[in-house]
Amino acid sequence: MGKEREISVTGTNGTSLFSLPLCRRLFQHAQESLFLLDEKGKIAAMNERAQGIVGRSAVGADIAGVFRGFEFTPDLLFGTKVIHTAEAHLAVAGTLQARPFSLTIVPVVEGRKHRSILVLARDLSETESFKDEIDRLRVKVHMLEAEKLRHEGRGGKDPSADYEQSLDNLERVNQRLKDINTRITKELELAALVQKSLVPSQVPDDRSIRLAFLYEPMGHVGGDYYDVIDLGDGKKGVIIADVSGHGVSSALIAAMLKISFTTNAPLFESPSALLAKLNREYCDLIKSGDFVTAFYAIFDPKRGRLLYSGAGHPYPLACSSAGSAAGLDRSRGFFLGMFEGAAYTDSERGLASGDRFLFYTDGLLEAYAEEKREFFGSRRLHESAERHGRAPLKEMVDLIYSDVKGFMGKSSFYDDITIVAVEASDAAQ
Amino acid sequence: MRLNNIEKVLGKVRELPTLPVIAHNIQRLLGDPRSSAQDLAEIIEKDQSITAKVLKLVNSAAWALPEKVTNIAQAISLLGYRSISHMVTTLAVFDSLEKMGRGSFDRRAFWIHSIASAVTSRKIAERTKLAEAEDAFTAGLLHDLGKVFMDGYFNDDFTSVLRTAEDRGISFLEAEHLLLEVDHAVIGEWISRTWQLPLFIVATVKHHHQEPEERRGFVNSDDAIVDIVRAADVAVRAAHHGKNGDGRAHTPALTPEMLKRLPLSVQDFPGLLKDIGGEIEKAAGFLSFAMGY
Repeated sequence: MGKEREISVTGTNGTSLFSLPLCRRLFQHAQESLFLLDEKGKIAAMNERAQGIVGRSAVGADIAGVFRGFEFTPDLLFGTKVIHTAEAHLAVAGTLQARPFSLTIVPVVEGRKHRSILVLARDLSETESFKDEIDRLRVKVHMLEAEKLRHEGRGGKDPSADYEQSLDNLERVNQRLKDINTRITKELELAALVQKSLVPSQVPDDRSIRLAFLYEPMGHVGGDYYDVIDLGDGKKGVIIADVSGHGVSSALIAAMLKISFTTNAPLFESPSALLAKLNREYCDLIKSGDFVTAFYAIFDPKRGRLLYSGAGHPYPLACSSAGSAAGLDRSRGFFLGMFEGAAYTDSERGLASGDRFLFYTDGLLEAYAEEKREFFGSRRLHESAERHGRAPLKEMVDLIYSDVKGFMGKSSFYDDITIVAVEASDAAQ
Repeated sequence: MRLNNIEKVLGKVRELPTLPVIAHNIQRLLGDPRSSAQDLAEIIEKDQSITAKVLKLVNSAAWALPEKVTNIAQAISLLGYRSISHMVTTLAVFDSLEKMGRGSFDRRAFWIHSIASAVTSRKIAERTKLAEAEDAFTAGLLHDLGKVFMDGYFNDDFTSVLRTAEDRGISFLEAEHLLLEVDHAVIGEWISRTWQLPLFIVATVKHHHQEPEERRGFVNSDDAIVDIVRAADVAVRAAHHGKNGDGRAHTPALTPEMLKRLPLSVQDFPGLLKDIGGEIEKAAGFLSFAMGY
């Protein structure tokens, strides 16, 4: 912009209203696109907005080269009037298109000799698009008014048969969607009933171990599975499993698990051998990328023995009669259905009357409180199990679940939750 | 494949850092036909760190949008539901991959290879119309994620593979098969399944070095996206965009066999790769803040 010169406009009280820094800032940051031309019609300066629309700095370029249709003549320099209606087109970089602009030409005289021209460019395509939008809204308002009249019975004639037809179509589509939604909901409710019938809901009448369950799928159906099977000779097999993902696809895999488990469990005395068998089956069968985590334990109260094996599943808590809770010793084991060569190992511990074990799925650990931005996690689960460890078995399960819900506040569950509590009873002795 | 050390690998996979909650919520949303753009915006905006990254990304030169994007709803309306979902999933995956730590491998050069594969995959998808362009980009970007895991957790083995590939002038995969019991494609499959990434990514990660008749295990094992990413991977390795761990003396060649399921010939690739440099440079801006390189 050349060397700074003092520009001022004196107010009636003699104070300066405008200074050069103020003018420069106005020029640079105005929301209008501004170009300052020298006496030959070349661009001496342009503001940020102008650089934005041109896509580069065009200082030194001929204004006629930037805006097609605008002819610079020396007469403009000597005029005194502001010309508002000049129209020109700005070439859009990289295309053959040009955007229409309205130019306002402002002659500027500084001192006796220095003359320049300020050009304000306004993008007409933006104005046009607003005009189009206003026209569309106007038509919409008109149609809504006509519709209102029609409904009130005062309009008589429908101003737009097409519009009415569209509304009818829309209503039909809406009704169809509602019907489909109702049907899907009914089918899901039916699926939920079927799924509930696949897992034990009643506590089995057994003298050697006591059980309590809680199963809360996130939707109608879920991918958690638990089961108890009588293996004979006083032994009970307890499995808990969690299919990756949620909803119907996971529920189908959980149903498959029920069949595999009840068919195979009586055939294996070793939990790890059963998990290896299930793994081989799932590697063949599951093509959806889903996999299963599982924990399987054989309770043998007669011999005071618990045999167990895990497949990538959170380890159950052992709650002692003294009120402490600790995770069972870890044994290695990879998820079921991901790698056919995965190996599983058995672990063993003693089992005494009153020993309690808490099996659960990771929905419990990963219950997320959005306000706190924290997961419930294993530490809180340990504390909760210790706090409620001596309550009656079913009450203990409900109290732990209630702790999780209290922790979450208003947050929603993003996973299915299953808790299975097992207690070796006095009759085991 | 030999299986002498597999338990160690499986143990690490089992204990992988979890993906941020937002990634799972987005996968759930993608699987729900009743979900809306507003649901997506609400999920993303709950995570301020990801929101800031998404806004920074979409306002970067790579997207060259005509207006400044100031909120997620605006980003979704400009770039689309699918594109923003993939972007957030990718940011979440990058976040978790970075937690695995870094070895001596030039990770930036590795990601340049991944970005080149992604950009080329997108070009092939656009040309052939055999996959969604954004799906192809994301699958191309993540196809080698097993290598990041190896670098982070099994750095000694990983370094041996790199050295062997270099000394013998062979590919990274050939060196893996000489030294290890598992390769990066199998490990990548385990990771992507554990993180429950979309199945097209899982299938691409698992099958990207396999012939079509060897690919099995998923409902989409036969999908063309695998051929697209495989061709892109080989083409950018041949053109030496970034580093994927191959020995320097090894230059893979794209063959008609690799393209037999795509309506493209080997001769089409110089044209496809012609302007790729600029696009890689733009996309590499992604790394500067998403990965801290």
